[in-house]
Amino acid sequence: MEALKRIPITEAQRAVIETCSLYKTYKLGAVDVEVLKDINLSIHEGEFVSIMGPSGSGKSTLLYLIGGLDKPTAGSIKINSKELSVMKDKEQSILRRRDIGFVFQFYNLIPNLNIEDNIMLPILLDGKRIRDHRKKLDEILEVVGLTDRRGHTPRELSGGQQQRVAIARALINEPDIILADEPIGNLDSKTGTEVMELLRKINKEKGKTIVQVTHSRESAAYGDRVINVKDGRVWQ
Amino acid sequence: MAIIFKFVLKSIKEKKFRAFLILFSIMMSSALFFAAGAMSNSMEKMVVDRIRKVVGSSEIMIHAGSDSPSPFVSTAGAERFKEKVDYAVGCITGSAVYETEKKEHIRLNLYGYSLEELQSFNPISFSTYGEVPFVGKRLIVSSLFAKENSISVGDNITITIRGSKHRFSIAGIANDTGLFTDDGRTSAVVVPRETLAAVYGVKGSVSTIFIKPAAGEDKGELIRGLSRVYEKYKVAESIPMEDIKRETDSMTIPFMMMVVMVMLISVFIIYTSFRVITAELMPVVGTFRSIGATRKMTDIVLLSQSLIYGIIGGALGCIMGIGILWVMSRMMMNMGFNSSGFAAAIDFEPQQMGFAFLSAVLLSIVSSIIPILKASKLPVKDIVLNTIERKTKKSNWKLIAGLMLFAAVVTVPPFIPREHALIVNSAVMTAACISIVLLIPYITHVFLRIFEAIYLYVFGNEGVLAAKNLRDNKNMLNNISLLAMGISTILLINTISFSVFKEVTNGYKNLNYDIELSLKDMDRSALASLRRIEGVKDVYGSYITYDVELSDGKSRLIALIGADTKKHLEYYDVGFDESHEVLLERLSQDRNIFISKALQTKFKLNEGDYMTIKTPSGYRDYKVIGFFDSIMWNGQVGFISDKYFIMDMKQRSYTEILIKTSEDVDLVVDRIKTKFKSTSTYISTIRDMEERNQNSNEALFNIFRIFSIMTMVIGVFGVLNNYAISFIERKRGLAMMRSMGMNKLQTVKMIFIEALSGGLIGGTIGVIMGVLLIMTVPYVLRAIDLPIKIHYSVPMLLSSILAGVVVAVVASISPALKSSKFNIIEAVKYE
Repeated sequence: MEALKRIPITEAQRAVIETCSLYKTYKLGAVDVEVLKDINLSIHEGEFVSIMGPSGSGKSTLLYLIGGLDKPTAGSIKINSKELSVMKDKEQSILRRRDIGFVFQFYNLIPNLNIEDNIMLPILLDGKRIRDHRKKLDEILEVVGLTDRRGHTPRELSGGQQQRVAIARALINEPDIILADEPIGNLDSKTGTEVMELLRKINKEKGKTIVQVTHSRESAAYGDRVINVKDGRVWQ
Repeated sequence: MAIIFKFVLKSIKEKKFRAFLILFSIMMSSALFFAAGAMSNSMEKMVVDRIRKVVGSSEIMIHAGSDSPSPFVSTAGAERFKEKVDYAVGCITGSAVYETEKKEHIRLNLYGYSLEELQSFNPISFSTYGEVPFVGKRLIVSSLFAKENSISVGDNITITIRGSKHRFSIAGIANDTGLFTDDGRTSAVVVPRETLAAVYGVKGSVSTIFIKPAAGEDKGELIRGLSRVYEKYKVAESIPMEDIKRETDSMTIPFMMMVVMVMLISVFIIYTSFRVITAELMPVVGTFRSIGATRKMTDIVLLSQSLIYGIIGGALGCIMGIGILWVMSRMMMNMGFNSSGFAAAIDFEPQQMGFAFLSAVLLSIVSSIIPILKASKLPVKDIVLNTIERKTKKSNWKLIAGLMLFAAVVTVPPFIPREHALIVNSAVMTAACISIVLLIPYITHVFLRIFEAIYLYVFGNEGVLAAKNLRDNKNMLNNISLLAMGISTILLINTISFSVFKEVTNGYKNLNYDIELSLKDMDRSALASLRRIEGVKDVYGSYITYDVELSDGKSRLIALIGADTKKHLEYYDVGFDESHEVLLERLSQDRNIFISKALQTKFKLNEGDYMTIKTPSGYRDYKVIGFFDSIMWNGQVGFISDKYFIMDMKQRSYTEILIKTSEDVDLVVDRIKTKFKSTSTYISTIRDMEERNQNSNEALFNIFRIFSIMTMVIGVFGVLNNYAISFIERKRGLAMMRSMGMNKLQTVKMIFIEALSGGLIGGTIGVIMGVLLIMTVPYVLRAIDLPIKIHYSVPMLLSSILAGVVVAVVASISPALKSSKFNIIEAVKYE
């Protein structure tokens, strides 16, 4: 077994994600389980970072803490220099709407809405008018290659196509950061490669910061940097 | 097998609310099915109990009819049949007035019996008896009468019979049962028959002869034999079971129609619940199948769950049905099926309970069989790997079937033959519900398009999102169906009740007098003495014969009125215009008749046609010369001139006297009572009659309301369940929206807007469904000779929509609260 080492995070560009002494403990019956311990990391603008680790290592928990979907037990998280822990639900929601885009393993599309509606959801949630963002929608559909499927419902698409819709949805509000949890975990290898190519394209061409959680070394290879998580700690 | 059974029970126990909902809907369906079926038996029992109070154990009775030579009948004829009967007991009936110490007048019903004979066929239960022979001037009174007037055995009281005072001593005091049951208006008194015969001067004759055939004797043959001897008198069964059954059976049909609604809702709830149950049990079914269980065995696992629900629900339903039946019997006492002093009676046959139980089991199995069979057809590989493909193919069969049914519901009722109207219209009403349920997805789609456009301006983007979320949302469509069915049922009952109330009110408005009076001798001298009473403005003697047979021997008029052509219009305003006044004059010129529009439709008669009426003088043809609109006597009424009425109906005295007053009505009533205190009178103000009529109708509709409210209650529970299921199913979607930046407040707002929309659509479709059901009602009512016009109440329609909104919004409170607390990560992460 390879020796695990803690990795120092280098500072090349502006840090868009920063965590400091981050802890997360869950209660499992009467027992406290420490899922994350003293996590300190910085992710910089335009980086494509892959978080890897075995099942139960805490990598997804780290991603969701960064996304503001869960609260840390201790420590701080800064997104674009804004401290998450002091934000109220409404402020955190606005941050998620404008600064972060999520991509999930199981796509999480709304089955009874068509592709256009699914992609435009963040626009609706942000109180903007759909008709003002039509052009943007066309562009994104072009990027993800689903222009001809815009009127279809998720049920009528393949897994890879559904994940492309999820990526398009994550992009529509032009967030700085895209957080992806096992984005190809539910796809076959060919489709998985296509999705990873798309993410790399978005990272390179649009300069988006991408943080993905993955089991796959092939998938991790698309990123600039790998962060290993084991037993709740970050190692290099 | 034991493991499977254990597994089934455990999965029922795990989902308590769902188990409760399924059991509740099955229980209510079978309970109401049982109560509706057994109600006719209970009504029969109540009517029979009331008649038995007078007729005892007798099976045949002989008494005078309107065309009999005397009101008294000789017992000599019955003597000839003494070999064939157990007994033939003669009874003389009469009335008397007792003046209390407070100078109040109590009306007494006198029954002249030989005590020995009375005890043989309708025994008195004595509280005390003075050990004296029951002969001469002796009386037996009720305990209540004795208590209220401080009378004991041996005391003497004075009563007035036919205007003469008679002094009697109290021979005994009877318990308040049987003949002595208190009816709240009169008091029964038993007098020695010979004494009463002497008072009335009718030695050897009686008012009624009660007969019980000897064992083995044919009752029908005995009646025919007696009819030949007493050809001028009425010889009939003491308890006319056929008539009673016909009356009570017709009451059962509307209740059964309500049961159909309840069952439809239950089918809906069980079907949707089993869709979820089968989906939840799929992994277990997959496991069973992968370790060698056959398809049949896994089907049994699922079916046994349905069977358990059916058995438990059916058993509980039968118990609850008895309770509902008892409540209904209590309520029936207020609608003239009984009078005070009688306990509410319930009666049912064991097979009715058996059918109710069977209906519960069938309901459960039939409603769950489709989801179970669908699950059964899935390939085991797909179940184990969870790769079950959902059908996305859209088909329009629901739209086509819904539209076709809708068209049939709207067009068919006018063409249904009258004799089949009840049954066919019940089917039409069921079809109306099914058509709307089939069309609900399409109607909802239209509503949502409209809402989407409006909500942007009213609620902002959350409103648009809410409207988008409702598209093809199966749980919401189920909620809309349940709300629509519940609301339509309540609307149906309330609209009919409202219409009857309005029609009855209008009917009484047409009566231009204040008091109705019946006296023993109603002739011109009675009218003259009434005119002399202070406060009496005018009086009119009205001739009426009830239950008049027509030439076909089956059809009947409830009332035939002999009208004084000069005065009639002053007392009855039944929509005659001026030309009708002229027509009224023509009444006296020949055997002419005015009939109600209800009769015109019923018999398809035109002016100039003839109506043949059976009269004591034989069949008489009356020429129809006009029609009028009236709800009185359920519209089964005709007018002929008093001249021909007297001639053909052989009735010289008035049936009732109608009085107009110039002073306070109650004051005039008191004066009339005082004036006629020594004779038996029946007097009532129109106001009181209307009140009694409305109360009686209200009591009937309250029973229907129980059914409609139960329908709504089941519907509401179904809606609650759907919201719970919907929340579980949508958790992932909601979590995803939260991950995209939807805040808690926006989530709650969106869920409430969804509920509001669902409620609005459910309420509106409920009103549409209700109106569709109501449209068939006039045809049903016409079939039972009740020509009620339907009156819609706009506030009622609007409050129905509001009810839908309230139910939906209240049901969404719990999911809305949960939506702001659940774990987003868990919801988004796992499939």
